Order: sequence, then structure tokens, then C-alpha cells
Amino acid sequence: MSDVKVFCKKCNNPVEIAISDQELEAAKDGILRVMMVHGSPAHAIVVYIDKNLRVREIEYSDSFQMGETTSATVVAADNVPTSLSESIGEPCYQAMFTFEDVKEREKSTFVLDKAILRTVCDSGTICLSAIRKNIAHLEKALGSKIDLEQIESVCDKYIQDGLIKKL
Amino acid sequence: MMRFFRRKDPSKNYLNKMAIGLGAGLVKARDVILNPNFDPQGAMDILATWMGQEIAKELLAQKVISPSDDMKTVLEKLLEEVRIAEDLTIDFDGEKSHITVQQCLICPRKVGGYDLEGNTACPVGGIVRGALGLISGKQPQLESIDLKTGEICKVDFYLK
Repeated sequence: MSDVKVFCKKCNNPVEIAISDQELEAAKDGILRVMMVHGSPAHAIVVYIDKNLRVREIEYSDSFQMGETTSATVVAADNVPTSLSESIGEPCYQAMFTFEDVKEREKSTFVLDKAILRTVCDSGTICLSAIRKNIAHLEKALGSKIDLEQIESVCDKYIQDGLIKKL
Repeated sequence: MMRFFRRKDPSKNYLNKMAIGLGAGLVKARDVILNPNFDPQGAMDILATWMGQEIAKELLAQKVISPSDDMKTVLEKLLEEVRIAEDLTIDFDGEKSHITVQQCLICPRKVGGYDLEGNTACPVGGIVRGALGLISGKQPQLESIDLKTGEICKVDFYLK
């Protein structure tokens, strides 16, 4: 069983979807379509997930009507994933600890590295371009462009340190 | 009335350049620095990066270094010209550089005598990163910074 986290733009909340290996295997064209009902008032999203557990697309319903029975899971709002749905073809990172846990460790790093680590920790799960978006304010502050390669190498360092993992 | 004429002493230009970098960095980074979640070391990293860039411009102007110099030379000249510490060691290990600072001359706590309230505010990483970034056009990766204020501080770089 694997968990996939997505961010619902309709309710601005994270949603966790549990997917079994059997379901993934059975996906006819390699894409699993999951209808997720959640939130209050309840609303539905259709999440398209590939065999690598990457979210390919999220569709939002304009209107939602519930029949007599339904199966819905609403997850806690911690480990917030950011823009995972936009991450097709690029690495995603997941924090292994909260920011509080790594605060002391963070003291000994450079400001850019700190900002990247803080972003991943605060987001729970986040893709590379979303990290860049979150730290864009540092470009003006440091007077230099921060490219994806640079962010990726910082993330690699934290992966080696065991603070985050690559999805 | 007192009037002062500047004597030409290129070695003193670095102080002017640092002030220029400090001012520019302060303006450019004011939104970040004034954010209450931002710690003093982070602010120093940013301001020191700007100072490092300005120092590198002065090193180029004085022809101490040239744009075609490799990063090892730039780093050696930078640390030679700007008196960061009495005892400073650079070990080159392929693309990596390890800087060990002992008897630091710019430590706000050890030299300045200020109580930093448990914080650090070391400018070495920022200065080096800013200077190397300006010369190379790339931003060196700071592998790790191990600051023990007033003792031995270590800064590791990737000079890709």
C-alpha cells in the first residue's frame, strides 16, 4: 500500500490517497484514476496517478452529489504537499523531519540551503520547481539567479544527510 | 575647518567596498532580513555575499586577480588580501575546498566581544561565496559550515 499526497485547490487542503499495489497493477493504461471525495462541504476530485506514483493530473468537479453510499477519506492537514500535481517529469522531495527537528542542524548551513530545507520541511512533500518558487525572494536578496540545478544539488546534500528523501 | 585628502592605499579600498556591499545588500535584502523568521546568520550570509562581490570587484580593479584565474587562485588571493584570520588554512581536494579559520579577526563574538545570544554571525561563507560567484559567474555550493564562534570554524565549498 502506498500513500500519495495531493493538494486540493478547491478547499486548499492536502489530501492523502492510499493506493494498493493491486490497483496500480490493474490500471489498464498505466494510469490509475482515483475519485477522492473529501472536505466540508464534501467535494470530489479525480486524481490521475501513474505507476511511479506520480500525480499526472487532478480534475475538479463543478458540482457534487452523493448517492446512498460512498467511501471517503479525509486526512489530517499535516505534511502538506505543495504543487505535487505540477511535478510531472521533475523530482519531488519529502521531508523526513519537521523543521523544529532540524533547526539545530540548520544553524550550520548557508542561508540558501537553510531556506530550501525549511521549504521542504514546511511543505512535507514538494517538487523542485515549487521549491524554487518558494525561495524566489532570495534571488533579489542575494543578487543572483538561483537555478533548479543549484536547488537540486542542495537537496541531494540533505538526502545524503538523511533529512529528506527523493520520491 | 578640517579637510582630508585621501592617500592612495589600495589595501584600504576593501573597507570602502565592504561598506558599499553592505549598503546595497541591506537595501536588496531588506524584506528578507526584516522577516522575524530570519536568523542573524542568514542575514549575515546575505550581506556578506554582497560584500564579497564588491571585494572581488576591487581585487579585479587592482589586478590582484583576473577573470581568467581559476577558483583556487581567486580563493587564495581573496583570503590573502582580506585579513579574515591570523591562521587560515585552505585544503583543496579536487573540486572541494576546506577552509579552516583559527584566530579569526572578524568574529563578532571573539574579537568584537559581543554576546551573540546563542547566535552566530560569521561572514566568511558569504564573502567567499559572493567573491567566487562574481568571478566565476556561478554560485559555489557551500557543502557545510561548522561555526564554533571564537574557536575553530570550518567552511567547505564545492568549486564547480
